[in-house]
Amino acid sequence: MAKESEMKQKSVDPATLEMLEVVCDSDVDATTIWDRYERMQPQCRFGELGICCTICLQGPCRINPFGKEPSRGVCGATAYTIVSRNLIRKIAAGCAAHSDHGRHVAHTMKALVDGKADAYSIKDEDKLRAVSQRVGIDVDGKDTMELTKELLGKVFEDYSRVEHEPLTWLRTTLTPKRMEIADRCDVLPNNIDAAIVEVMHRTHIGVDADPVPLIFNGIKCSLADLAGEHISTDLSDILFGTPMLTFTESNLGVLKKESINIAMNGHNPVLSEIICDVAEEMTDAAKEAGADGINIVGICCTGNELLMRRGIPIATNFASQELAIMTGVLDAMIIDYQCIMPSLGMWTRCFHTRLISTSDLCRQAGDTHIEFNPSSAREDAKRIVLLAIEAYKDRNEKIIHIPDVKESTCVGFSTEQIEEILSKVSDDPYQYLADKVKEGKIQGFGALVGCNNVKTCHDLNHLTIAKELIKNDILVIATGCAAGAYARAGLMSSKATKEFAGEGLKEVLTELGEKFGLDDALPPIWHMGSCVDNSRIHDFATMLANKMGIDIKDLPVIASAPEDMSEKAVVIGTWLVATGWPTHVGVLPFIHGSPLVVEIAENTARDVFGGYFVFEEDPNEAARRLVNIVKNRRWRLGIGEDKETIYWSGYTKEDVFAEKPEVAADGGEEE
Amino acid sequence: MKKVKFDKDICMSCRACEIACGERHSDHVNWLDSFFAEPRPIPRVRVSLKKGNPYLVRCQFCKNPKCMEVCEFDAITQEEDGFVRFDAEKCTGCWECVEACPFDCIEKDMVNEVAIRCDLCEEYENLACVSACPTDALTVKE
Repeated sequence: MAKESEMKQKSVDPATLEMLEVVCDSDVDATTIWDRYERMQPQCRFGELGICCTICLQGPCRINPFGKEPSRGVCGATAYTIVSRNLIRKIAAGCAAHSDHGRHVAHTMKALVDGKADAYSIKDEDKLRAVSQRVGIDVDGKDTMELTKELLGKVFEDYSRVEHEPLTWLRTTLTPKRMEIADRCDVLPNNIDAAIVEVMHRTHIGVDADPVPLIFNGIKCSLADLAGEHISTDLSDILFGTPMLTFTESNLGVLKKESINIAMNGHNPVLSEIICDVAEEMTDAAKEAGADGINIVGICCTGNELLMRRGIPIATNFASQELAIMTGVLDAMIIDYQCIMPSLGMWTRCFHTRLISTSDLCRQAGDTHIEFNPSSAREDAKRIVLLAIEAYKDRNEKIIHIPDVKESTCVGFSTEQIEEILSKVSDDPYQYLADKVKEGKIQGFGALVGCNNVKTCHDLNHLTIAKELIKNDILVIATGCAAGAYARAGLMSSKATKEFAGEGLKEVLTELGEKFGLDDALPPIWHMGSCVDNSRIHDFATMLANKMGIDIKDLPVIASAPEDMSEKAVVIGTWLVATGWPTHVGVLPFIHGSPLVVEIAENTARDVFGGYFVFEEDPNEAARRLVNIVKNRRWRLGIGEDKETIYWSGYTKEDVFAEKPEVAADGGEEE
Repeated sequence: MKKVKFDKDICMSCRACEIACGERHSDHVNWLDSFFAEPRPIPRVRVSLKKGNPYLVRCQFCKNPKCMEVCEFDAITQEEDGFVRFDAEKCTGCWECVEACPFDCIEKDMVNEVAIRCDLCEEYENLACVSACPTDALTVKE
């Protein structure tokens, strides 16, 4: 019994819990992320507060958080300098990850233009023309390749510009008001790579010591990240097609005992798309090996990319990726990069599963490396699938355990698809949404993004906050592992609309669903894609704001990363704040060692950008505050129904006066 | 006998005490060598969690030590000031004391087959753990 209650705290996903029990009962010589987290306790609080500096070799320097000595590092840096330097280095790393992803898609496209990548084609010409037009290319009379080449010129310009002009992908996607604010604060990057370099230079020993310019430089880098993400999304859509409404299934139950199971783990769709193409043609080889076909499933954000574009089922998100191997039926896990657990090698060694790395950026101990090249994409993909077929023969039938948990899932809400759905009910698509917001049928929009963090109960924060938001008529748009959590919990289905959505939201979703020709309501949570597809969230809000004639900082929207973990989540949170979103994070970033930096994140940011951070670890309390923030913003727009006083940070009058408000900025309080 | 006081409220769980203890109780002069040389040094203190707060696992020098009671080889003796002395020569590695300790603070040295516990850095002027603590969560009371 004790074992069971312990497990309840680890996850709320039934499939994950079931597999954890299987791990417990087995003698597998590998640890799960939960085991390792337990062994890591307690974790160093200097690190947790962000006041440990290892930037120069005079360190490591640690500031005493209780106000005693040492109050400065060896070089003289105080807590605020150290915290902000550490923070913006995280931002730079996140930006590097996203924008390098974009660059890889661009390089693949370049190979296509140069005639060196015949596995690829331009799948969505409309999007190519739309994007080209948006970035200021004259599209008339130009053929596809010509246009692609010209668009790529613009893309590479954003990675290499010398002139002091803002990034094309920012200039053309931010609202005019946002551009003005960003320009005034001098946070408009001219070159994505240079923005990362600038952060690394600025945080070198003996460069910037003032926390305000340091953090503003971080914001500049985060806007570069937004451009990088946007480029990734745009180019992926052009190459592989813009996601459209798809119905599929999610969770570990999508693995099939009779088939050859291949899991795609990572972030980049460049290879995984080709593998899907090739796998369809290799069914015969699979049948020869004794299987009934090839079953591809997704994990993490490659999973989201495939889910959105091809309806390929998603098996797990970040935290439970190891457990997919534990089922004993996974024949190959193909990884590209980002959020691949370094423990996978240890796991695949215990099973017949082949771990196949495809990028020289991301090698694992015990992997089989097949370097992926756009020029030989199909051959590489074939070799990979053949390895999986070979591995299938080594399966140990005795240890197979597939949890019988799968949920029906409706995904594919790209901005283009949303526009199409809305155009069925109104000639002016976004005006329809704006009207519904004004009427109060939809109270607002909640962007739920981000990762899994083992510090919280797996998926609990995600589900608690999402259910509370949709109950209060707030339409949720989701990306990344957050979206993976909702898909696997069955929240992306018409059933969830009936079960969890508030009355107003239910009415709108049912109307939209029926007019679009579905028999049922649309799901209450709209899957927008992988974590680079947060650019879609940005586009969605921008279009809505433009339609309503206001800035994002006045829209009734909130963002939340309930289980933020990666550096990419830090950078996404930063640009969400800089573009005017109140952004909640459920796991504290390492900044609470400096009350000044916390003050900037919670308050100063709001004065400057309109967006701000909300630090709240309790998911119920976070959900309550987020709903309150939407109410507050509606009240300020003059469309709010509520009379009670709600402050911008989501606290009500009762919170502020009756109870003693929690002191969030005090580092000493932190666990 | 030196008494070590531990303040859970200001402990940062950085484990500097663990590292300093292991380093001091190794035979190596060079601190870097001490971490990776065989046999690996065993720290006598350990930071763990208790009710969400850091908790120092370290010999409590009980008034009536359970470990002394169970030791059949007289390897554990108590002195007048309360210090529990441990004689490695007499220890046979039966691990009875490890089992008996209610605080789980006796470690097993599997290479030499002797039990290991805090010796209050007898041969030194200061306690390694106390001097390593960056926030004075560990202090000495004489």
